[in-house]
Amino acid sequence: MEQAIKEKYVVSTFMTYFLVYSSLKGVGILGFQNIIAQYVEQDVWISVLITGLITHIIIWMIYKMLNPSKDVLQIHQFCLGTFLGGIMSCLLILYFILISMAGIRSYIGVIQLWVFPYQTRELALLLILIIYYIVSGGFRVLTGLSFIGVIIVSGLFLLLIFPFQYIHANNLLPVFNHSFSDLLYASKKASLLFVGFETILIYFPFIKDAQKSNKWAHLAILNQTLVEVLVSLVTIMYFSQGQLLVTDMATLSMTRIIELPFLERIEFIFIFMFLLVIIPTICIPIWSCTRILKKMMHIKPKISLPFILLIIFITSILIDERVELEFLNDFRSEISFYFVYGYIPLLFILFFIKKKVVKVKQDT
Amino acid sequence: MVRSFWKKNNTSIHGTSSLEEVLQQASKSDDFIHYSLSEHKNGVVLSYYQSLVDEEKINRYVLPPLQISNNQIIHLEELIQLIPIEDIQIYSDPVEVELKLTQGYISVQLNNDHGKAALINVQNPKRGLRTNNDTENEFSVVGPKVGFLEDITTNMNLLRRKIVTSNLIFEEITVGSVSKTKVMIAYIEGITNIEHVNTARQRLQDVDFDVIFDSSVLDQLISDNSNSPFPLFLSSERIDRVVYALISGQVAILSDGSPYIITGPSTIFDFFISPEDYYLPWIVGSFFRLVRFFGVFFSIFASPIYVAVVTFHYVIVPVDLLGPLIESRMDVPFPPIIEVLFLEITIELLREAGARLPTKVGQTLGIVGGIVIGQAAVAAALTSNILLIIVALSALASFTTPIFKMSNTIRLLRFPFIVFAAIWGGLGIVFALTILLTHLLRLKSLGTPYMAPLFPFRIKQFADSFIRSSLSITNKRPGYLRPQLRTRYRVKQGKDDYDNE
Amino acid sequence: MNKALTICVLLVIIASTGCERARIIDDILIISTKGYDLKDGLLQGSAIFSTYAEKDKQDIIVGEAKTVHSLFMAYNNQTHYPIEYDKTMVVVIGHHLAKKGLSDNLISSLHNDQRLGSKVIVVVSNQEAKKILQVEKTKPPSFLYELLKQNIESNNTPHTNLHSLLYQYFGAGQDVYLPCIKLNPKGLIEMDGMAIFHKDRMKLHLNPLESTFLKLLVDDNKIARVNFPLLVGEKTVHIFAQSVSGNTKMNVKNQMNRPQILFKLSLNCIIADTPLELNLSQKRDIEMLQKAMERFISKGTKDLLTKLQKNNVDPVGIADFVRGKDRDWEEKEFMRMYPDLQFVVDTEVKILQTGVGE
Repeated sequence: MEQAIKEKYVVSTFMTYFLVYSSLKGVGILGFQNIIAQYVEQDVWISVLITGLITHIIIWMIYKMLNPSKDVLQIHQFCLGTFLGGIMSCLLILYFILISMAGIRSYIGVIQLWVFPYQTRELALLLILIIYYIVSGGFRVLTGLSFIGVIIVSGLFLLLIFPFQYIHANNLLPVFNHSFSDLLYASKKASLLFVGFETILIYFPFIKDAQKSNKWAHLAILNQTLVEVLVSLVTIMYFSQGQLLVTDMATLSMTRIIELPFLERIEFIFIFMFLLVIIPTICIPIWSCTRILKKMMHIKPKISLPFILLIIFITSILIDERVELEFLNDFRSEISFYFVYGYIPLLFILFFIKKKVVKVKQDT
Repeated sequence: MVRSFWKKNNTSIHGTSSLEEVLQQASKSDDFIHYSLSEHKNGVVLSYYQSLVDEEKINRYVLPPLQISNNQIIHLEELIQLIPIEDIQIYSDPVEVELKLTQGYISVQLNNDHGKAALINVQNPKRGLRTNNDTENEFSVVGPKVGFLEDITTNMNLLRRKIVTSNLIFEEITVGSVSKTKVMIAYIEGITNIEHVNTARQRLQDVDFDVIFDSSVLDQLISDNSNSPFPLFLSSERIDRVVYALISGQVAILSDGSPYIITGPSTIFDFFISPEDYYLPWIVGSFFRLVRFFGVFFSIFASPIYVAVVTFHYVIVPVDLLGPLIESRMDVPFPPIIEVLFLEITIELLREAGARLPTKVGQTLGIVGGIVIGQAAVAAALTSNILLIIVALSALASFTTPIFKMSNTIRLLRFPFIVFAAIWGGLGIVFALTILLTHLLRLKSLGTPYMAPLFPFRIKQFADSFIRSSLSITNKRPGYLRPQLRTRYRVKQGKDDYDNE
Repeated sequence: MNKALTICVLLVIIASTGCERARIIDDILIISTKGYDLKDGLLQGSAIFSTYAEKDKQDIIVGEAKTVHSLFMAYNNQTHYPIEYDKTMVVVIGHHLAKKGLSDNLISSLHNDQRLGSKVIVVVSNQEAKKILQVEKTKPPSFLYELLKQNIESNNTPHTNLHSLLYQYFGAGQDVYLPCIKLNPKGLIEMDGMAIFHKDRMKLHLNPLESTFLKLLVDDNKIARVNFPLLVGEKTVHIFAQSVSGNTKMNVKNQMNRPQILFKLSLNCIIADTPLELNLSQKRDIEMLQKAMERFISKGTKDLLTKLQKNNVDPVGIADFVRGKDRDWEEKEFMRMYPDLQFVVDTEVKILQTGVGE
């Protein structure tokens, strides 16, 4: 049933690194330290490390599942049968819409807070138009934007050198004075740094030599772990504990201290360039939705895309208040956590059971 | 996506007719000469367009043999032996005869047989055309200054003199229902990927247009995306540029009547390469190439950043700079966006006007326009002097691109950025940048991605993009053109004096 | 074609909202220094802004209101352009306000406001802030900020900015310290040591010499200038020393149930103004200088620490340091132990240069 994707739509194997890495860089990385520090104070970096290491296992599971089959829709079909598999795939569509909508709305929220209280509708409308242009370019354009996003975020990461002058290494001590259960609960909160790569379940067939690309995906997760652990360390050393608990966007606040001879208040540039970083995290889930609709119900992406964007636009402008936005972000983090660390392992187990069953049937 | 607007239709002007009707139609024009040498039954009838033929050739090579033969010719085939001109053929198809007559051939018919005609090439290719081209539009200090001319045969000659191999293949196609322009596809067999040639040939054959004025028109007709402001084919008058494109694995398209040759598939970096980079040492060449890139970025972003900072984000400016900035804007009554648009439009007016004026007047106007109008505008407090410097510098910087088409694009790109910056500030600039990047990522030139080697990212192919690497590194051809042969030349290892001391 | 048209129309609609939120730089008043005072229970604010009509001219505006942000109501009632405070560089807190307490709304307005950069320097003045601002008005722009910055970088003021203020305020185990300024008898602004806070109230004032010792203790930047006395023969001469770099190490030891805090200061110094009786190429004389300086600094630092201990304030951050060492550290418990702490200060001075030629 599944013919290989035509050569001209496929991207190179090592692009998997950029695709996975850029999908992890959402608005969450700007303010995660505060959330985790509420539970573990100066051991934030340990929680981040734990979550990062566990995510490697999830990636390994994904690659084991996707290796024989081609993408997640077939796995659903294989494990759960056509009808139930179809239902799960439709739920996937809703999940991806949630992710993109949360991404758009939280970025607009950051702009409204730090730059200017724009009206949500006008920024959302403009973003939706741009996203339409991007997604209708196809998967290769999305990969190109992921590539650019990774380069920019690596450049922005270099800005962290400046807060180094103000760090107090003593803040890291005493190390590990929290109970293991506290650390694990905080790791759950740290998961918001490591979710976002689920779309690989959908775009897996678009990677050339997909089976060999697992090292790139693992490299991306490892890179994210190292970077975020480093950022956590610098954050803990830069802010005092009490100060961190009242600072909502720690990474952005750290950039306020940067002073260049011809520029001040670098955080504006940081926020603006950040648009190029989160665009892939919004566009790739939307593209995945159109792809699922195309594969399952044979709806042409040219028709389904405006619909999906309309839904996202309407839901984004319905969320007006700060409180609602925080609720949305928490909700999205929870759902993503259960999807990545709960549903995928479940699917993995089902997959292997079904495989064994099929094998037994074949043998008899 | 190839637009199929200009797919080939049957739109020839005439229907089928006989040879008599063809000659009758041609006689309606007063510059068509049609007479017979004698009334004898073996006499010959000559027909030609006086404006197209070279009378020298007729007087010297056609008429004497005919007049001497003195009605002895029975068959037209004998003419082939009589007349000392190499291009002589016998036709009976009226369409071919009409085509050849309109290209400057002379038709010789026998009185007793008006169904066939011998067509002899007596074209005067030099009439009305210039004989040398100093490539003033693509000037370089070092290097040959010879350029292509309007005559396609001369151009092929110039190319063959530089690429001395029988692997250089020219394929002829006729394009244009009225102009019947001779178009040649040139490529080097064994290097160029055959798919590029096939694509180019296919697209040219599908073209349905009346007059091909210039190769740029062809460029637009066969390009992948005619809605883009970016040029998708590299067009150049210089021989060394086209030769370099050919040996890298590109396909060149020559068009009769146009001194510009277009080559494809091209990437965005090809438009920022100047031949001088190769004639200077690689460090010097790379430096100037980087200056060029900086010029382009400055040209696109300087005015929008000014608008964004002055209108929304004064916080970014350090306090010491804020003073002069505010003082320069003190008396200006307009918001910054109006100020910037006013100055930019003035500069564009100056450029457009300067392009049309005769040289002597043009220079004066440039100085008058630039200095006097600028100073007067500042003194009248219509603009601020800091903005004047920014706009003038960015105008200057946009001319650093060696290819004229690309510098036009850079000139244009600035305006959407300014408008976005005026509405949303720095965020607007990033929005516009996202749209620009997406557009560039979607562009393809003859099927090859426009942004190669930046995307698809190939780290080994950067030798000739941002910097021009030394000749010992550029011995392999860039892979995004998918050439059949990767190695250009072999590199010898240098001797190390220190070890042998 | 229709698609392009709809997009253009939509863009025009959203674009038309762009005009009201502009803050064009010559249509606003940019404040560079703010001052806060307490007057009759109301917050009295003063602000300095540059008018660019003449070169380097500044003007002052005063208003009264109940909270920090309501002051902008009062300011804007008097100005022809809207007030923008994003470029504030110095915040001066009047004496009375500092004594009464900052936390009512000053700290939250400094902390939650995204529009202030972290470089803002907060100082306490020994008089009304308004008076300081009125003197600053007559000086070139950013005079006060440059004065403070210059003193922090290469004179005797410890490093502070908005970030360190918030760090110390919200952090358990460290008390806020801010520089002090005063108007000297000639009417010019002068640095006047440090103000030490407990929670949000100013508790203690350190004179310039004590501030120098504080700087040598806490700052990474050890550039400071001192005068120390030396007994030569029978008279006491004063020698000038400038420390250029150095290191501070803090350590905790438990000695017979009485915790001891050890400080080890290493300083590299340049000496000048030595009397002619001393022969600085003689090792013996150099050592004498060294020992004198070390004694001076150790004693001064220990006196400072004792003074801080007596007043129950901890700007040095000893509590925070102990928190790092002790897994079961509790702030209240430590503060109970604080008066019983013993301090040991050990200074090591290296004399790098002794001035030009003998």
